[in-house]
Amino acid sequence: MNPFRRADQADTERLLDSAHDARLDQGRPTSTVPTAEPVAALLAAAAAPARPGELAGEEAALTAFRAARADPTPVVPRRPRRRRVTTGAVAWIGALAATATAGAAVAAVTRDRPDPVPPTPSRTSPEPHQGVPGSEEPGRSVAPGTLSPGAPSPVTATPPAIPPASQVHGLCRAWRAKKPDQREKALRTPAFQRLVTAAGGPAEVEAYCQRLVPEAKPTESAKGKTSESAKAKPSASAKVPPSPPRPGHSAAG
Amino acid sequence: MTADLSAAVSAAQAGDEDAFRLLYRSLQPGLLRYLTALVGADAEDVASETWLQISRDLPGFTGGEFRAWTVTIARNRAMDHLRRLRRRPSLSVPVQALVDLASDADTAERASETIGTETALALIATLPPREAEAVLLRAVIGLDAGSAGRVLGRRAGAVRTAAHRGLRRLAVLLEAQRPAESSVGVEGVPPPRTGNGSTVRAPRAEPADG
Repeated sequence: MNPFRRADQADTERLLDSAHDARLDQGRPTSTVPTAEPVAALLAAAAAPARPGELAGEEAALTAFRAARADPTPVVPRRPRRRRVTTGAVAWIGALAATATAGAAVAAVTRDRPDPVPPTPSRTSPEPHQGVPGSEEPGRSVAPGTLSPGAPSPVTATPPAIPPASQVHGLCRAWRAKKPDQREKALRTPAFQRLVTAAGGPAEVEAYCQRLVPEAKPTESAKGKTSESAKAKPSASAKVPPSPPRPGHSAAG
Repeated sequence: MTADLSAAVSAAQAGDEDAFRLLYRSLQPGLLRYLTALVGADAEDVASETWLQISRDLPGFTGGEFRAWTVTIARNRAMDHLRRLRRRPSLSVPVQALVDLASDADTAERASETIGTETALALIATLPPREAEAVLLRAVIGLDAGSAGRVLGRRAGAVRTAAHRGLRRLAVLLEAQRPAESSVGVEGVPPPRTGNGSTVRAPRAEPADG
């Protein structure tokens, strides 16, 4: 009869512990393990001391040990996996950034277009000298509320720009985004009325927008931007010397 | 023993080859037996990979149960190996073991009732995988239930239960093998998986990369 069938978990734990302890007693042959319980005998046999064949890889393991000591390089197989993860993360971040930027651009356009608030008319008429930025009176203040310093809209427009340039700017982009056959119709909608007004008529819109927002990024834009940001600061026009637009000018400030 | 082992670990980390040899001799038999239950005939290959990684990662070992650390490496290597073979990590069941056991038992009756290590391991390998692993980690590797649980990613209590069930199953199995008294009252214990061991054991036809 096998007494083990009534054993509880504590008995099992004892048995499992003793099996390994018996193994550590290297000199003792397994036959002296009490065989009253067959399971105990089986465990003792399973945990018996090393048989010669089991240590056959000893020299190979030692060679590996020496090699690892001589050349302590990190584990090779993990490398490519990590790099793959990194590449993937970079790709994701890039995609995310692209999406976010595109979203911002779209948001800028859509924000500009359906603006129901009438533009606050800027009382200062634009200067006739466009090409020389910031060279005029230092105290010139241009309606600080309507232009944010960071707005990427250079005021290079010659006509009397009733609406703020940034809005016309956005309208131009929105209008250009339309299909050619829909552009004319779009100019009859109220949303683009300001653009039509600024351009001086529906027929002028295309040329006007081309002037205002050229396809290629012009140097005018950069110049205008500096002057614009200088102007937009309410009281600090003299502190920020405008960058010389032409290399001929010596910026001996 | 554990104190000896940790002294040897420190010495081996410092580059002592004899200490490393001692570690190998102490741990390799248990690792090999455990791996045999996991990957069958490929156990020696996986054990070699295991020692390769132990050699490499030894400087990074920061303390704790060294046995559990090595057996975790061995288990990971075994799982990688099985994944390479696109096989589920099922324990191999050599049918031959049961035949061996019968003859073993016969001789055992006449002799001093011992069974061989091979047979004992093969019998343990017939258990359901969780139970077999629990029994092997506890009895053959020599981990306590907590360490074994950490190796297996399970709670200590779960390991105890699995080992307990495994031993009960083994008891029933051993009893059934003996042509002794009329004691075949196997109550409620489902029979171990015995069949299809030879078919599961795919021959290593193509060399695994690595």
